[in-house]
Amino acid sequence: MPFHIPEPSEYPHYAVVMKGIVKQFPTVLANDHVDLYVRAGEIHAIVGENGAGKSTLMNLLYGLYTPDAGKIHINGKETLIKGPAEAIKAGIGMVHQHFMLVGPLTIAENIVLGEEPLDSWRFFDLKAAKKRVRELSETYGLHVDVDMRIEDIPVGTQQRVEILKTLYRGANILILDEPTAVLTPQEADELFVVLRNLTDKGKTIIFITHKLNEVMAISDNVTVMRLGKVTGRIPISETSPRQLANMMVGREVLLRVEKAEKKAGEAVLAVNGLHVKDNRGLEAVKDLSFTVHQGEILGIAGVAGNGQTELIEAIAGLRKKEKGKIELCGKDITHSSPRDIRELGLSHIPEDRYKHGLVKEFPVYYNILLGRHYLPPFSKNGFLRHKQVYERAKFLIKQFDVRPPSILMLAENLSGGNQQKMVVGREIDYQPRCMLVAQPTRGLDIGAIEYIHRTLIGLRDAGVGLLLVSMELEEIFSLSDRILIMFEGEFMGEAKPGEITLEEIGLAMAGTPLAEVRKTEAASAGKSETTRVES
Amino acid sequence: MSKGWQRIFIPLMAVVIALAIASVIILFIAEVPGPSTGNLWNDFWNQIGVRFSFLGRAFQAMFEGAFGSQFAWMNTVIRMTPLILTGLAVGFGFRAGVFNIGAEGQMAMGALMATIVAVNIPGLPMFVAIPVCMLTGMLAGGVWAGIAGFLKAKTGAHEVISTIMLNWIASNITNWAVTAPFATGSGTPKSPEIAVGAKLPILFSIEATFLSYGIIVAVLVAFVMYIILYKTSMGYEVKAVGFNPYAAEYGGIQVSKNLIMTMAISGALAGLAGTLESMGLYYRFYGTLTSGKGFDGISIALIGQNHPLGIIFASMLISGLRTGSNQMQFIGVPKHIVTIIQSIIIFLVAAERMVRTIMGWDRKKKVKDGLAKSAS
Amino acid sequence: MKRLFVLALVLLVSTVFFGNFIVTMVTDTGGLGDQSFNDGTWSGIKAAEKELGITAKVVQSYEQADYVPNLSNAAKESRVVVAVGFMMEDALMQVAPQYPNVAFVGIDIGDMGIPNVKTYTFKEQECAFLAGFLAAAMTKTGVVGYIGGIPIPPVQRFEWGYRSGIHMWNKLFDDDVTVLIGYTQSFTDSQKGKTMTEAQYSQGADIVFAAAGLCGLGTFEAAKSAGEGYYAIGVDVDQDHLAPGRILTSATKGVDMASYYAVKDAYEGFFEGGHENLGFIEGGARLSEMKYTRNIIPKWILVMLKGLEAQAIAGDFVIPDSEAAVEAFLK
Repeated sequence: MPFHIPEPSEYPHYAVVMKGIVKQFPTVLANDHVDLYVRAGEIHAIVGENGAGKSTLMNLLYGLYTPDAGKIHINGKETLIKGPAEAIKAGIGMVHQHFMLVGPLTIAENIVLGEEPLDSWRFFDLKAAKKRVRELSETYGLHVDVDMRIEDIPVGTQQRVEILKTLYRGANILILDEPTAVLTPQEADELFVVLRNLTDKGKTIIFITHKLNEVMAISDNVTVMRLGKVTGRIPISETSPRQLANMMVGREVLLRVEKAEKKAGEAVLAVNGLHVKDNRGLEAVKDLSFTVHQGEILGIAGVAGNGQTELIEAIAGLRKKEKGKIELCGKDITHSSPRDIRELGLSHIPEDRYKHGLVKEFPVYYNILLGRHYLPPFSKNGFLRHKQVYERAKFLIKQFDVRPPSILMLAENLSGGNQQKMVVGREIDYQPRCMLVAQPTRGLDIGAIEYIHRTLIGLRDAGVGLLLVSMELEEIFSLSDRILIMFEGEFMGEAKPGEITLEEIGLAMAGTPLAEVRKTEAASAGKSETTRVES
Repeated sequence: MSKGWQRIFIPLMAVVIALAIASVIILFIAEVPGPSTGNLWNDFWNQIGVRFSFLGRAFQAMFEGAFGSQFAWMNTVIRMTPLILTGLAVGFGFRAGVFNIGAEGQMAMGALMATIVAVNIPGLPMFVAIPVCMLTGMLAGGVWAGIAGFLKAKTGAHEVISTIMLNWIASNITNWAVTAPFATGSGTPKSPEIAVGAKLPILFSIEATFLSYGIIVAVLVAFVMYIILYKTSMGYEVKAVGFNPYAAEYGGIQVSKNLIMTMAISGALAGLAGTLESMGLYYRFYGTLTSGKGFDGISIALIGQNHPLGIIFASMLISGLRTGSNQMQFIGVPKHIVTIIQSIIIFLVAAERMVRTIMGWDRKKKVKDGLAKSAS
Repeated sequence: MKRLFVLALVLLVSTVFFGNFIVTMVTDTGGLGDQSFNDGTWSGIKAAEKELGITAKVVQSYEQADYVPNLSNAAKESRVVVAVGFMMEDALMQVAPQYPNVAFVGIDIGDMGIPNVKTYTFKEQECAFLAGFLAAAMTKTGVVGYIGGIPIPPVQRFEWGYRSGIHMWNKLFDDDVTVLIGYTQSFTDSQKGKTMTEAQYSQGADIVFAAAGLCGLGTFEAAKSAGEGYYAIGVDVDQDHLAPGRILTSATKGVDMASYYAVKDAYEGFFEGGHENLGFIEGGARLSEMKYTRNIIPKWILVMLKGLEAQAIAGDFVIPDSEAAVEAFLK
């Protein structure tokens, strides 16, 4: 049964109908006559690459922007939403990608913030607040300890608090913007249970994501967007990840990168007993040791904020080391400067390209020069040789397909994917012997991801040793030759991608050492076998 | 309109708007003589006529005072000399992301130290004395600013605070120097005259006014700064640190070393500004030698958009405005009105964003880009 | 020859009577509105303008670098150029010889020996002497204060006279009035004047004499807010009206008189280069008329002030004009 497009007479059965929505931003036409039909009580996924216009559409629904054209019907009634306050009044709640919570306040205080219950003296009534929050949390199965402070609770719980906040304000329609981006697989599964609970209680959920497996797992219907337009809408029962991916990208894509088995060579990067502190002075990397070999990709899996950033920065020379030793191609680089480390053959695709990877005010050719601005052939006697720089930059942006292919364009005017291609191109052009690769495809669309993955595999095949850090398990799985799982600055175990399941990795990412995970699994498997035997 | 044109057009537009506002002020303050003719209509036209002719004379005086004669040009160029250098000092700092608000103090320290040397080297030939004194002044200014750079790099102390404090210290040191140990003669607190060999040669002179080779030095320095910023690896590092210190560090640039060096160069430029004033204009150190030229450097850097060549033109604009507006006083525009006009021009030129918004360039440009992007 | 002489005379007379006789005053960076030195000089020129029907202009300088161009430009279109303030001394020295046909007048500037420059200084110590005597007579706390600007000679002369006046009182009446001395190192920072005055009040002084240009306005502010029992003493011109009742007196210099007579002489053809140092005798140094405070000062003190002035004129004693002379005087 294909997706049913309702007649206006059917709108009362629909929680949200958006018709002919147009939104023009200064630089881009973000929504071009978009229609969205969300049935009451369903989980409706909106998928699309970054920049497809999903978030814009939701921000229009939540009143953060006003559409240039188009109509919005809420529960069958045409509604003008001029701001979040009106959206809340219409029963719409939104959980943003970045939580808007006050760290030092408790969960109860955060939830009632802005609409506090008052006692007869017109003071804040904390008791009543706690009671209301407890009631809500029981009704919807969102279990939280109302007295905990936000800064002390994990991200998954913070997300629940955000959901409770919208429910407290009477939301019947919940918008969730990339809700699983910050969660472990286990936490994501728990979130899905919560979402099912909510729809059982009559709530409607709109769910934005670009992860296709989640769409398949949880939603009832899906709307696919590409370049500001709807390219498909389909009930989930009638589609497959491959079909959705094709709708998102507009062509056939490979979800997995092909790579040949390869024997690793000698060690290029050896880390021994490394200790590193984070910005707050807390130990973020605790006694880590590992080796990266020629021609291998060593993947580090883990939830964001478990010390990966500090580890990479320490190796690159950008962060102080407390203890331990780092060797690059047999040379001790523990206390070397970033420049010396680079000269020894380490290049680095940084996790945050805006912060570390590029100077957005510089044109492309200047960014390609970064790190080599003092070296021949680009510099001679302290003077830049612009001709050589131009030629190299032109060559690189052609080779790495940076668009538009103008070396004079300011980096900030490139799209995220093209910026990343520029950074990757530059780092590869160092002809490194070892490369740190952190979040190489964050925020990129599928086309760019595919390209960068192929490039990294190419490097590996050419004998470079790569250390890959990624929050995307898919990426770790498809690229790595070996996987290390990191939790709170320590390794929970090592595995080969073919020899470990997603569930096992998820448990290890949440803090159970891999050996233990396997032991329990073996035990329970054994138990079930015994049971079977007995019956 | 291309970006390059906008860079020139915006300051010009700001000057035009400021002059328009100034015109309104001048029209109001004009003294209108003459008894009433009894006819309201005639009175009205009389008023208009008198006020506009006053306005015309005011602007004529301003233009002639700045550029109208050889004498006027000379005065404008004399004033430009230190302004180019303090503008470069502040502008170079901006390029590296530091706000050197202390050019005033660095200029004073540079001038004082250079003068102390220049006074005590009688008999030294010019080709030795002049470079020695200039280097002393640059060194003194550089060290003074380097202190702030060092504090920022090592302790994170914000350079705005530390350079302001250093300004006060410099001001007190120089005041003390010319009232106590280094004082001479009557009148303004001042140092003794510098040795003949340390006096910069004179390029032209008219009557009591003379223009030294200082201006040549200042313009040369501007060209050197241009080359450093745009043609060398060092300039690349400075700009990278200024725009994004994290990316700079990632790219193997030593951020703290760069900060200290930038501050020191910035201070050396300001110190040279003071040195040239002493060696080429006053032939001695005065307690009031700097009189705000270090702070003028901030507006000049803004107007010149931190580009060395832009800074030369911005200095000419400001100094022309100063000399020209002094001339306006001769036809009866009060000093304070003149100051207000100057401030309006600087304000508008500096508030580039505002002009852009009024002209609607940003919005239109973005919309155009956006359409182009979505069409492709 | 005779004809030529007559022609020259006619030309001269006609320019004097029919041409526009322009007088331009060039101020230092203090500028008009200081309620003191520059305003005083300007009022003298204005008086001459009114009486003689000449044209008076003023050009104010922003900075040191303005002095030479402003004086030069003024010389180009004026018959008389009045340079106000010791800060202009060097610039005047540089410009005046270039324009020998223009009469230059320097106020508060020492002798230069240039034929077309007439300079005036004032015996600040004389009026300050009377101010010091009056302050010592009126203090209830036995402590009085002095705040100078930048310690340059005219300002120092105020200090020397003031201290000598206090000493004279102590000697005559066997009293023990002491004086607090401070310098603001500025002539324009009135906030500094205020805080320094407040500091002296808190150290026990109840009368503070400010010889510091615009800083003095801060002293008056402090006197106003300190209220009953606290006084300030003004400087250069009669400043009594700036804080009626709170300014005991002003130690005035005849800047208005000097500028008036210099312009008048030049207009009438009697201008002559040289230098004059004006004091009690010429009326170039005196106390204000004390319009608002006369009634609170005992009559006999006012009489004594008159008497001291007469004695000084008569040469019974000399009011010291240097640090060494003060030392000698105090012994």
